[in-house]
Amino acid sequence: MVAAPAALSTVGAVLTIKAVELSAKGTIYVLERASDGARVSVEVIGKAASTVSVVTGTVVAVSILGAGTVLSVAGEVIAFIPSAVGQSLLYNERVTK
Amino acid sequence: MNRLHRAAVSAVFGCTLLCQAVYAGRSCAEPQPSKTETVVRALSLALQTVTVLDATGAQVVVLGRAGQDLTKYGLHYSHFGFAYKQTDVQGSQVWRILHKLNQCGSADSAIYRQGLGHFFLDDLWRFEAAWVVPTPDVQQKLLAVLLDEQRSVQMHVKPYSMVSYVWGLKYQQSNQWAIETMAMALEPDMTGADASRAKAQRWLLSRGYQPGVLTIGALTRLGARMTAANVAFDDHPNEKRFSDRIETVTADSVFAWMQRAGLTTQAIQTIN
Repeated sequence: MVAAPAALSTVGAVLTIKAVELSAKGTIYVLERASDGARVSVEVIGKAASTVSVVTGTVVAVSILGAGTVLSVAGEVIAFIPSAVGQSLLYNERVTK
Repeated sequence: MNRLHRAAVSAVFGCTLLCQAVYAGRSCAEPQPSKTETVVRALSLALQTVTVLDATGAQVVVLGRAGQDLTKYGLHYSHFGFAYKQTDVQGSQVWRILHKLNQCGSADSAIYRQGLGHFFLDDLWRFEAAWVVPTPDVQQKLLAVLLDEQRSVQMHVKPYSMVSYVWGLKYQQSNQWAIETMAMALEPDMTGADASRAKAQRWLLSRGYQPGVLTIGALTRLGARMTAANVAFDDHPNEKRFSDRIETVTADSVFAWMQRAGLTTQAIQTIN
């Protein structure tokens, strides 16, 4: 299990989008922490249903939970990085057709 | 110098995984954005529930949630399923819940196996959990069914009505599948291919199960039938339907019955 990078593990951290890139699986956000300029790249798999605009300069809020780290913009989640225990909470299988 | 980290691709999820594709009786034609507060509260409730369930030492619990406001019908919990411990692909013991979900407000349904995070991410009315710990004997019988791919879905039928008649076979709502599956697990004559919904219902009747009774007037029934594909009343006996008496399986009635029938010796537990 991969833990969230340090730049995303600080309660109350303020991050800013430095770049948005499309990847084969989804979207890559390059985020920069305001306090020290540390950067982290996060790939979000799939197409988001978000209605908010995520562009260079957008401020991203970080919520730290026992289950993982939530990145959000204007009150909407753009990504979730589960902790080891959080990973076990996320499972979705359709059993019947 | 700035340092660039790359978070593991497999550990990062966007809305496609956090947004539910199915709901217990609600429309989901358009994927909805995940509100931060909703995700934070749902995942926190899931984690808290896992911690408490681990402490019970149980292998199976009957777990409910408050997905819709049913207070006008005197109900608190809208939906329940079976949470049980299972070994995942990494060899760890995890809680999974087997339950039945309506297909996006349609007249169809399917059985899902989910983690508790997904279970509570389903756009809840209240962020609450309630569960009953069955007796060890009941847990053992339920677990044998839940771990059996064929038997665990044997009582399931696709046609769905949110208010299906408790003693009817035309439709089957989510809680009805669960209690009929419980009957199949506990009734000795239901171990083979001859298990049926009718037998399950006869057993439930013989064991004193009493359904929830919703008072739904004619105008409300007509409006619901015309606007929602997942609501039908034509399976209810005329004398009950035309007296506005809709008898259906509710989570609250199942929790109460399990205590009356001796399927649990513990009070209902809640997190709210």
